[in-house]
Amino acid sequence: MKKIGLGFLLLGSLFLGSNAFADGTSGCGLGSQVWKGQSGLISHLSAMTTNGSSYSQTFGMTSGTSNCDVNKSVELERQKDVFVAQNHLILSEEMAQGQGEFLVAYAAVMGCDKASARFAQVTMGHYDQIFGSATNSAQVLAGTEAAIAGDSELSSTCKL
Amino acid sequence: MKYLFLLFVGLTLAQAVWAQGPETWVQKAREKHLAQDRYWHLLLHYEPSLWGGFVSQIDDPTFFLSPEGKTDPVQELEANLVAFFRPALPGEAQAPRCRFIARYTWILEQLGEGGPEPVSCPLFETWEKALAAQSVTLVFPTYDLFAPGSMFGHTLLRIDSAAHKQTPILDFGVSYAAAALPELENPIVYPIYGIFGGYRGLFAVVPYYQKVNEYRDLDIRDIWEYPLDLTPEEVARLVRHTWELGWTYADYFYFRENCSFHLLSLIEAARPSLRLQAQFPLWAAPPDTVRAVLAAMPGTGTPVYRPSRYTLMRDKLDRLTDSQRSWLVRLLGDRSLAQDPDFLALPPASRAMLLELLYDRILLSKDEKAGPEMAQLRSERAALGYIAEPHEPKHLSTPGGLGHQSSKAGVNGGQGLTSPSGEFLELWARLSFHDLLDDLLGYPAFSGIEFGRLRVRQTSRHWAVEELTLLRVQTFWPSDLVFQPLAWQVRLGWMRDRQDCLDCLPLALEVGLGRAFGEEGLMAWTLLGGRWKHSRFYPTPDRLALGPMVGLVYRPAPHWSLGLELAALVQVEGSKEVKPESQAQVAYHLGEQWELRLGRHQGLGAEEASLGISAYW
Repeated sequence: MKKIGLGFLLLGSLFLGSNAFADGTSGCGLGSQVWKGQSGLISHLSAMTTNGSSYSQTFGMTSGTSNCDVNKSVELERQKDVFVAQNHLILSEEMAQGQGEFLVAYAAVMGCDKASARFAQVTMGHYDQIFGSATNSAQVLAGTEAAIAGDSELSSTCKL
Repeated sequence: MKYLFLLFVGLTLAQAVWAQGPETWVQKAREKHLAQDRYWHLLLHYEPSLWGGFVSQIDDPTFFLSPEGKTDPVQELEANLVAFFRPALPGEAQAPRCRFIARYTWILEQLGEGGPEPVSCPLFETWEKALAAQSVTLVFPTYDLFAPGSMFGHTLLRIDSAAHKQTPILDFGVSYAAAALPELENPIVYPIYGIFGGYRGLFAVVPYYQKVNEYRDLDIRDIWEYPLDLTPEEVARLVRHTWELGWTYADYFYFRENCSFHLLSLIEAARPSLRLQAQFPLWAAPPDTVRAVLAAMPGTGTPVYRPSRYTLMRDKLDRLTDSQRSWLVRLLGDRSLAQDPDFLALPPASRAMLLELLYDRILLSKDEKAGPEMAQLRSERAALGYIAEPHEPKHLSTPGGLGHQSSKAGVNGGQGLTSPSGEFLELWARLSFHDLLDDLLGYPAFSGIEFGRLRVRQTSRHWAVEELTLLRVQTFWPSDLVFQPLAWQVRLGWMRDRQDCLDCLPLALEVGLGRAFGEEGLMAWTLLGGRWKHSRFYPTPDRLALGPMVGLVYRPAPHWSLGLELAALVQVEGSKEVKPESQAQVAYHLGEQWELRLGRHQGLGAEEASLGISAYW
């Protein structure tokens, strides 16, 4: 019996810190969340996967059971909000490098899918205005919209 | 009481509205033996039970409409037929025919006339529209560098929509995973619950970008994506069954009823002619399930590679020039040099690469306090205004599901080099998964993990167990300038000892921690650790020896691998004598099935050479 216990202790220590079982996600409500300043960025990223989950939360995201589908324009705003809130860390990095898959997806979410190369250039140029002091997704979105509005090509191409 | 009353009113209403009732359907279903149909069993996840009859893998009682539904396909079918004629009851979010839309659609196809009046299912329709499924991709995040629980990889599905051809991260992933209960996260309870079904496994539909974020940056795993060759009707069936599973749970079992096993049922629901789950009666390692899917669906497209941050970092490091490399060394020592005029005089491409590597270091080492530094690095990087040319990084992994099967068995012939052991014959088998000398295709280059390895030996007189390893893990991810992960190994099991006893079989635990170096072709490790062993045939039953352990793996050409391991462990009790141990092996792989291995082994009182042939199965 002692030996079996030891085996489990060993296996247990191997599983510690793993995401083998923990696979929760944040639901629709995350969108408007403020992230904890600049210092908690990594913990924010990891918080995403360590939340406990229930199926109403994980599944409701797309099933229309949480308040994600009030009406179309609200839904669209929410979608942008959720995208920025959940991806701000990788998004800020890709924006600073002027390329990347999350940046292309962000361009699409912002209605700029026809001009994603220009979008990358312009947002890189306005990086400090967009991400410099932003602590929530609304500020990032406002900064991005201002950058789009200030560029003649984007403002005529993007469907905001 | 109130609900009972409402239920009664509801049922009475239902009776009144659908006056013709479900009797015709029930009668037809009996004539057509629908309850014995494979597709019915698929949708309800029935398996033959050990005690005869059937039992469903789903453990949520609300998944069944008959109280006997978990074990009785006939009663469950008839309860469904009846329920499909009624609307949603008060307190139900949707009518049974919407909640179980895959069952209903299939039954309608089978029975046709005589069904209930059509109704709309707004919840399902909104959800289905949001997914806008056009095709399905099988996703295999590779082996987790830090988490042995994820060392077999993982699988999920991605529902692809036409709108996201260029931006697949905006699509949705479907996964099945255990819901961790925070109060149960301790090292004893965690694996016990995980292995014996103590956790509820939930089917989740989440944005794929969450998964990419999680695997690429947090877990540092490459991802392989296999576009499945499904027809639109098959995709629609998969989506409908996903809807049914999304509201339910099944107890999670780490070895079999895990993420990969349950995904197979979704693929079978899409194309019922496939038999996938049945290939995994005891355990389901994710790459083996990928292999099964690839074999069953030959039209699957070329896998798409999504490199992890580690892979991208190693690739940047490989491309550095000598002067860039020396700058990197200096910058890692003193970040303020990024303001140095000499640094600012470097071409933007060089500065960009160096700043990005500094950023990678922070993320890979998960330095929680580096937030301000990261913000500063991003700002400096953006100010360069430099956009690098697209570059395909060197792959650090091969697609999971290719290469050898994970079980293995073989026979060795050997010779003791010092008397008295003489000649011997050995038979051995391993349940799963991969060791460092096994053929590399489809498996991680820097780690080996073996579960359940038994080796029995025939000497002149009799057969005896030589080794029974429960678990052996070796994780030797190489350190470099930017990132220095822990290299470690663990081995738990019984191994023959002829050194501290005459000839006994102690339980032994070996642990080593240190650093590894090199790359896929030639890697080496240096560890400090020890071995605890226990046998009642020792003078004192517990023996502990500590010391260095080093080793290397050399892969000079495809199908060839050479391994060398040395240890010098000092006995803590008694003599303090150093007992050197060594093992040298050469492996050659003939195709994906066979392996020849030549070995020389010294330690625990033995010194012997052997030649063996083994097969993966």
